[in-house]
Amino acid sequence: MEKPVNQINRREFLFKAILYSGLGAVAAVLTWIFLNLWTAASRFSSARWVLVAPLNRFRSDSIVPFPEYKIAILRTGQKLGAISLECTHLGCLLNVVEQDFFCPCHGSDFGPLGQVYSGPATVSLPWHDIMDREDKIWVHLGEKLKNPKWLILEERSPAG
Amino acid sequence: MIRRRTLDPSSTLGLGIVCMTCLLLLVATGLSLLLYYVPHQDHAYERILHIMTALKYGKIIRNLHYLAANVLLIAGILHLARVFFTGSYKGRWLNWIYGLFLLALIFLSNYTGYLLPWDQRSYWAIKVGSSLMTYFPWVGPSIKNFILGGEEIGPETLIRCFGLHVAVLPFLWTILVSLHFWRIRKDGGLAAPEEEKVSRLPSSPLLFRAELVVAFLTLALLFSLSLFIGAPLTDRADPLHPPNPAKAPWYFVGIQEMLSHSATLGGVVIPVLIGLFLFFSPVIDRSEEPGGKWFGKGRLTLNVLFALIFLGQFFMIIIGQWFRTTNWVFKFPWQ
Amino acid sequence: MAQRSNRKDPSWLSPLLLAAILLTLSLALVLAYKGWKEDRVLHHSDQKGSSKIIADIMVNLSGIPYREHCMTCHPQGKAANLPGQPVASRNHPAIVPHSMNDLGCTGCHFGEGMAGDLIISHGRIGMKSRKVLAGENVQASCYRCHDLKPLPGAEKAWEGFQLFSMNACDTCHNADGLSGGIYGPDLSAVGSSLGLSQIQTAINDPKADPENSIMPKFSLSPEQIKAISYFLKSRVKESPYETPMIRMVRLEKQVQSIGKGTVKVPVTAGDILREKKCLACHKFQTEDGQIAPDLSYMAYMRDKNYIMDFLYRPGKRIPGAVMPSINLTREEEGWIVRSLQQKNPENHLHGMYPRHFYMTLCQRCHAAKGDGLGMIQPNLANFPRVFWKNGEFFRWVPDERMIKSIKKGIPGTSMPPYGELLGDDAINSLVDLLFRDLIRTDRKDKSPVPTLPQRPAGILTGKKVEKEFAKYCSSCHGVAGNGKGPDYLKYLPRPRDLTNRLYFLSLTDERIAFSVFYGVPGTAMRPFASKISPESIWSFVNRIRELSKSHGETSKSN
Repeated sequence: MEKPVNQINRREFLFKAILYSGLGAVAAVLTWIFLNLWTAASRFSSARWVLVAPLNRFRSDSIVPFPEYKIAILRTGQKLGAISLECTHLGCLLNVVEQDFFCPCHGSDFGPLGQVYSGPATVSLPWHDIMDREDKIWVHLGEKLKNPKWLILEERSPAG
Repeated sequence: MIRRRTLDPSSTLGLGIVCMTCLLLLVATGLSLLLYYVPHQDHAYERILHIMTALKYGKIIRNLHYLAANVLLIAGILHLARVFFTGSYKGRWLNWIYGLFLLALIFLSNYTGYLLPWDQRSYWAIKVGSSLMTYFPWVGPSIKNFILGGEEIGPETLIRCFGLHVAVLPFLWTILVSLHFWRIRKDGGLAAPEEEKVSRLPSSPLLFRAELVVAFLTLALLFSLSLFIGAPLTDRADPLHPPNPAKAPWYFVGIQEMLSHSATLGGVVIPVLIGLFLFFSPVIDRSEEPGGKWFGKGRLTLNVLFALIFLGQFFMIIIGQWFRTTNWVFKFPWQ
Repeated sequence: MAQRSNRKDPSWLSPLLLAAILLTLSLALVLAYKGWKEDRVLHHSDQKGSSKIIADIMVNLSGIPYREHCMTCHPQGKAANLPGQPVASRNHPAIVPHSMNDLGCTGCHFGEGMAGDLIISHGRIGMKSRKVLAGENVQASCYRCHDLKPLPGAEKAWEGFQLFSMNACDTCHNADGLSGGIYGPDLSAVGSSLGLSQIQTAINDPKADPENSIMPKFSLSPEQIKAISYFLKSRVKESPYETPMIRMVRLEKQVQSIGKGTVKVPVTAGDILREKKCLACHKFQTEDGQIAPDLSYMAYMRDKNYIMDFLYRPGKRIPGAVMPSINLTREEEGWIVRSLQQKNPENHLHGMYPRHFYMTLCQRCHAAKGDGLGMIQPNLANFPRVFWKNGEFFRWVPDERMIKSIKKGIPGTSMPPYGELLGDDAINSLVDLLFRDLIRTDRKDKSPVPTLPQRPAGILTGKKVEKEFAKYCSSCHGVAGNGKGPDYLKYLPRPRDLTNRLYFLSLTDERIAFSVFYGVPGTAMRPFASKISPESIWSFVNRIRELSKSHGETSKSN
């Protein structure tokens, strides 16, 4: 007796389809798990919010460095921003000289908004995300932003 | 049974066996060093100090490890050049790819091992090397984060580099070397032009003896080099005090030099183009020349192109290594 | 096996193999011997009865383990017994109540405890941050553990600590508990990074590395520098004898004790200035720090607002000033202003010859020779005008402008107004002196001022102007116009800071254009009239106005 060719093909095809897609799915899930594990390190160490200082620490138009976090908080008018104090050349901690940032290692010079004035560094300073919770300033270490993220302060009575 | 020309030194220069010998020496010395090393940033440097000074024969073993690593890199590249110039990849694209992966493994092993002493030279070389990687769009920063174990070089990086260097990469080495050798046999031995009169010799003992000759000469070379070249060690790593200039390991300093001229062109475009060229050359190669013939005329364009790339990169490495001083300013080394 | 008899084996193979094996074997033997020999030499095990064991000790200093091999060559801290030399009997000096067995060697002497050779074990590699301290230098370690109090045996280090604050180092540098400044790198861990001689070089020659450092060279003797270096060397990352809690308590105690001792009532004007370390840099009456301008005549030069502005933020009045902001209470600020504003009739420069004026007032910046390389010139934001044989410049300066510069000062720079201090006559005779002795041309010898090309009606802006500005100006004046272009260190006087608002407010557009067209003699600013079109040059004037934010303002008289 002849089996209908179509039916056999369909059954075999179905079987193979399920088999291969099942294998593929298993492989995909395992790959997903492994990839997550391998790249998990960047979720530790520096990716976190830190409480930097209370708001009244930042009087009008000041630059306050926090060397332990390698950031500085700038205030101009009613805007607050957190700029990285890590030299984009080789990672030295920058000094705050007047309105500029200066690197003592190889002499890179950055302007008040992190733009490169001179020096072996070629990339301008990155910024950090900043937020205000109950009059305390928090900064997000880890992920660095190319453009400044400003925190606008509402009009308050004597904040400086 | 092998062809007569297999035993002829000029056919392959024995470079593949040089690589293999270096690799075996690396494994032997590496396993020994493994007994004394601790991949923790507070202990690594002192352990290396211990190996270099107080440990009997420690200095020799470490020197041999360092020399074999660099000779392996050079021999690997020369082996690649030989295969290219003889067109031996004809019809053997898969093995050629295995070879390219092996070359990538050489770079990776060198790079991960470079960091392990955790001294100033290592730390800043890896710092520069990892920032070279970030110029690759999309994947660059992710690869950098993977190797560094985060955003910056720290304890995670040391653990990772150590794990990669002594476990993950050797595992890949084993697989790829086996595949590489197996494919040579499967493809019928060394690539060679068709012969009028086939005269074959038994591989045992002749081929084995020839391979042993190359192996021992390589060992002799390494031993004699170790008499007057030592593995370098500078002072402890200080993340706060970069030296000026800070240079990537010598095999990446060419890329650093190119990058200093143009970030996208030098750092990304050229390496990618070179990589693609190497990867696809067996496919691009449409000449009629048989594999195994040195500088076949039909392959002139490809040979010239390869030679240009080779010389160009060689030149870049020379400049970057010896002609660049503080702040990457050009200076003749004899001044 | 018919093939076997036909086959011609390469005859060179077997001999070559034997040769290769022999070569390798001999080299391996050489290596083995070399290693064995080195081991013996290193550990002196060729001496009869001496131990082949390496003195491997582990000391635990407050939870931090230190493993050392020093006593392999220095048993019980004795001087090392080197083979071939007479046996040394120099014992380690008594260090009661310290004990070698408890503290080990590297805790006081640095060095690399785990090394076993001569060079690395004594820390003589790289930045030499672990270079062994011996003899007098050992006291640099004492304050790694001990409180900052006078300590017998560490007198020089204590002196160094005092010099550090007396010379106002902590106004720019923070060093561990002395609430210091942010202008300079934090020195709280400098002892872990730099060797003793590097610290000394950094103090002695601050502009060696990096070249554009703003740190002044303080006038300290080599012995004083050595003392300060002893103090700084003790500022390390981890103190070997403190837990973090103890450290925190120590720092808090230090800040409190240093905060004490503020002046209650100033006895003389000099006291508050000395208390706040002003005199470490400035001059006031008889005391001179030799770094910064003379404040003795402030009362005749600046008003109260200027001084208070300056104290709050020096860069506001003189952009680019290297003076750091000083932390002052309202009270202290008032005292300083009062001290500086006191007019002491004896101080008035009465009846002096012009040369005396010059040497008392001008020489500090402009130098006795008048070449601008005065004593404090390296620390000024703007280079003092060159007088010496600079007739070319002064031929174009109208007499009134010169007198005005002395009388009213030059805003945005360190040149103060001398009008009240010196009378018109004195200033006149001073100008005579300048021309006669320094500029060396006739005061009346004024060249006709070249005319400026016509200013175009419209204002030129846009990409083309920016590009041209970047092309011609930015290599010296910088992309941002702040005078710090990539080449700026090559030139002295430095390129002008084009963002100096106060300075450019005092100039007319014509004067700015003039400098670009015809250059500024005595400086590296060359004439651009032949290189750039007049329209472009006038557009540069606009650009400068933009950069310095001094639009629409011109001074009345030029």
